[in-house]
Amino acid sequence: MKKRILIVDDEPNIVVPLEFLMKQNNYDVQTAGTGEKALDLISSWKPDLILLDIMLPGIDGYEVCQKIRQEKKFNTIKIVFLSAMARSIDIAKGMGLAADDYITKPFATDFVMSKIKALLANNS
Amino acid sequence: MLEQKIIIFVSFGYMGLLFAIAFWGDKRAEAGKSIISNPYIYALSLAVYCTAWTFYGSVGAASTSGATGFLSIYLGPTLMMILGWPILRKIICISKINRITSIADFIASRYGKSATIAGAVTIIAVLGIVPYMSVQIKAISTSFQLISQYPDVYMAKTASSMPFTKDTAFFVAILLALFAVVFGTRHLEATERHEGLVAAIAFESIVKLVAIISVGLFVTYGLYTGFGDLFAQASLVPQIKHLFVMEVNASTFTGWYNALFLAMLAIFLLPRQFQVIVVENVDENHLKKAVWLFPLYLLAINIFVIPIAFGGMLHFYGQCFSDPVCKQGLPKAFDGILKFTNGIVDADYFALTLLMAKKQQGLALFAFIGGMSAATGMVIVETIALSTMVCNDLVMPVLLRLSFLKLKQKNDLSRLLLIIRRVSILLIVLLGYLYFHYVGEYYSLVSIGMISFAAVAQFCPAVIGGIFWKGATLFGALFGLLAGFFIWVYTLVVPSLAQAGFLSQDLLTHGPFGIKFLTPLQLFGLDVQLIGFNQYTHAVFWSMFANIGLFIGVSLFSKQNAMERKQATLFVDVFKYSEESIKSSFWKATTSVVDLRMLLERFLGKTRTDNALSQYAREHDINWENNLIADAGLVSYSEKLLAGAIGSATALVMVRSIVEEEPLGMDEIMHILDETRQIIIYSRELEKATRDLEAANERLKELDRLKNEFISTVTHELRTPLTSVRALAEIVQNNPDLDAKKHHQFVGIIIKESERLSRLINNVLDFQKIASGQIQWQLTRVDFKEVIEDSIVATGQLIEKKKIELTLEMSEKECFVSGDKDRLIQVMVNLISNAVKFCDPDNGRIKVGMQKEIEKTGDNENSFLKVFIKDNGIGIGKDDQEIVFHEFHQIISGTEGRPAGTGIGLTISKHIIDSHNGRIWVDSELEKGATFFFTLPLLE
Amino acid sequence: MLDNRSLTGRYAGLFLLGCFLFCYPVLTIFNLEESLFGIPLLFLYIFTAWSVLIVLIVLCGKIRDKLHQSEPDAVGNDLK
Repeated sequence: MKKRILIVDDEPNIVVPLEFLMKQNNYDVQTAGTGEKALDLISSWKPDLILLDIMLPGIDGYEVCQKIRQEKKFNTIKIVFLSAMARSIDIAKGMGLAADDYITKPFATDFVMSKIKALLANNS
Repeated sequence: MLEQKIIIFVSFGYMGLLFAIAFWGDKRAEAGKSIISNPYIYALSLAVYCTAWTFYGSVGAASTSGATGFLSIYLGPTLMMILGWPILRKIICISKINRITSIADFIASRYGKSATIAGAVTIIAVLGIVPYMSVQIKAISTSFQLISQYPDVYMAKTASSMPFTKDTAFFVAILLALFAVVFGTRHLEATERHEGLVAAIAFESIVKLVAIISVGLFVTYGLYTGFGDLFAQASLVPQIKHLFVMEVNASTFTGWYNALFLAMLAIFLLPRQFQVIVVENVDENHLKKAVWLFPLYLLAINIFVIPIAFGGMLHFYGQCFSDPVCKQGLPKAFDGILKFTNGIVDADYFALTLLMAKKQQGLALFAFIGGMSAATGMVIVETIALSTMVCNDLVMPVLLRLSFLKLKQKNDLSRLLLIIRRVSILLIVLLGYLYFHYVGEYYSLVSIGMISFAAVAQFCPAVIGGIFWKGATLFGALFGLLAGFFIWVYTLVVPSLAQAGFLSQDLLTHGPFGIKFLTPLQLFGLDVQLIGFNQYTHAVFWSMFANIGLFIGVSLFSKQNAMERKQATLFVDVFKYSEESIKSSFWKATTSVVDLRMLLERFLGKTRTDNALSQYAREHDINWENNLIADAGLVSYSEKLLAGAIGSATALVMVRSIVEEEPLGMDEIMHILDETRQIIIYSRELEKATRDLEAANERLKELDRLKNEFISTVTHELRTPLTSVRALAEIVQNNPDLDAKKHHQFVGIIIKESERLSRLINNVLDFQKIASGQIQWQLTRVDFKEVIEDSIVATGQLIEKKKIELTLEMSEKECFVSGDKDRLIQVMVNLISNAVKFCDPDNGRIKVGMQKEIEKTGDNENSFLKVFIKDNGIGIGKDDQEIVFHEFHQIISGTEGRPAGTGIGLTISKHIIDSHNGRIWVDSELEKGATFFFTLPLLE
Repeated sequence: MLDNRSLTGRYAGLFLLGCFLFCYPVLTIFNLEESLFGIPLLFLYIFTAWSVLIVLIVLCGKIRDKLHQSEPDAVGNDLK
């Protein structure tokens, strides 16, 4: 079965390349532009990994992460923050919320892919 | 038979032991191993409160009026110690910081370091304490007489006509005075703290406690089988049984509260109490334990008072029934004295006489030593405290003013200080003796003590008011003190002098010059009998009334000078500065000489600084060329130099600012400067400098914060398009076989995002230009209708793409303003694209309009143009409406919406509108859209 | 400094309690010609109330010490 990846970002022009990359690497992809929509999709679609932006309209990425980590049934979901916020404080906060990784924008595509592959390989 | 030699030998042996302890205490202190630096010794030293009054007098009071007759004197201090943390700790802190040496110094320092009030307090203290001193002399001499006639307990009634040379009390006084002189002024240097003394006092406190408890145990368990037995026997004697309860009447009521009130104040206002609680305090944290240890001590020392009193009464009443003279004169209610054929027995000395009557030679001697330790402890500490006050606050200020003595030129005044102190100790004890000799015998120990308590209570308004009320003034305190003191003299001292025959008795019955209204014991016609006032309650009532009334009243109507104001602030707000200030007395840090010199030069000028520093170098054999680091001594020296010029608080902060490497002492400096600015001669200039500094400081802090925010925001905003560009470019590069449609889409996005990047950069540059005022305005006559039309054209594509419904609301007429057309279009474009971004994503509506408005200010009519741009987006919360115009805030702010753009747009717009003499603001509610308004002055 | 204000409040409250325990009307309640454990009631009351008050002062200080210890490390985990 294909692994499922959820891309959460409100910048369509960032979602486009990410979606393309994931599909090219043979993953099932869904996208969400807001935190609320992301949470809906997580419950209904159960992704294996989430690429999560932090600055989102409404519920922000930190909060989304926190909500996921509070639910036992989601504890296998890998969370990777993808954010333009690059200060060490932001990163520490993200990792403090028990995310699996924190990648700062802009990123190299193969770097992101290798991280995702590693995380999903561990899982199985 | 107890030989007098033995008694004298034991007494001197005991005093020798005290010297040894004091000597040891001082040695340990010099070695840096203080023995008194613990809460237990501190609490014991507070017990110097328990004097012969407690040791002997309480028993007398208990046998005449039961529990309520003496316990209030110890419950008052217990209550006061509960307030020790809030009140006493504050006094201790203040005193440490200001290096206070006595209560006179404390009050004077609070009221602008006034020498007048220091002198007044000293005189009141000395005269007020004289009766108290006489209590100790009376107790020691009487107890000495009693024990030296062992086992005969009857005492001949002393006649005041007896010449001094035959009076034991006179020799006792002389010996006490000499002892106090030798003990209190052992050291040449006049320091304010006396470690050895405190150690000796603590020892005395143990001795008197053990002594009275031993007596108590002997009476309770030796003579009787326990408390139950004692009280059971006592209840058989009607004169004792009626002491089991208090008489419920107005007199007990007022007496109880009066004693409670006076004792509460006496515990810290008596000069010796102030000395041990405040001046000799090593560490304010010792107070934490002392607040319960000291009450515990008081409880312990009082437990056996009633048993001793009742035991004494039981025994001597028994004797009385078999003595014909006594039986005849046996009163219904016991007044403290039993008159036997062979002499009298005074209830005050039951602790001694009962033991003597029961042939307990050793225990009686121990009780005598206990009583003596209680009395000598009081005399030593009291005279040291008073002599310090007399010397520092009364004699020296006068001597220094007498120019023919040329004291100011003298370098070493310490010998002179010592002589003054010794003489004043002798005089104080002598005064005490004279009071005892002429007046004392008419009163019991407790009632003489109450006279002194009433005197020191006069310090209460000045001290308590001074540490909690900044508005209390020198004149208020001085008038209050003097009025209270005058009434004290008139209502307590004058009657006692009249009783002793120095004044006519007529004064007491008919008033001065026959004015009944002013009778000392019934002032202003107060019916003391009716309301149950005794002499003391009456005196306390009127003196406190006058004192507090004048203190508050005069304070409200008089002005403080600059010094007073400064001291008032430092006293009342002591905890705001305390930690820093306390550190200052022991500078540990060092700094560079250059920095210190610069600081000094700033306040003292170059010449004075050079002189002062070279003097210091000579004295300490320092060469400034080799010495680059200023040691602690130099730092202290500089602080004192500065204090002379700008006040100690400011000096402290200034020195701290270069000595310690804390991030910012600026706020403190500002605060202190603000508080003390009145003192500084060039106050105006300094005030302005202060404000400028303050503003600059604020501005710098704000700029620093904004700079950080700016960098983080701009980088964030740059990262977003960059991410897209890089990711897509990599995809295009890695996938040469990408299908044409995707290829086209990706490259399109790359171009768009690149445009976004350049727009961003332009905005930042624009902002930079406007913010730094480098922009050149192209001012022309502009029709604002054109501005709106042009900006709608410019944003047309954006609006269309988002399918937003745009409505215009404009008058037909042209509206001319003076301005830079391109910049005004920029404002409109910013506001419209802003509205587009935040519009409802599915059903966006934007309304743009303008209208003329007229504003009337007085006779002037200003017409201006009001433009609005309304959207139906998520809106802006009340709190953020001001902030959105600040640089970058809106980008960071809140989670309610992801703001777009760089966030500079609104700031730039605000700058432009401001530069056109207009105003820009936003009106909005969350979820209900936002309307941006701006105004521009219209041209005619 | 820990909450000096509340500490002051606590001591002030204890002071008021002390004033109440030793106020005249309360004393008259125990002003009876009766004895308890062989000790006249008034004496017993005053000394007992006094002892209780001292114990309360001790407690006041002790509780303060505990609060001091449990005060969280202010800068500890806060990354902000």
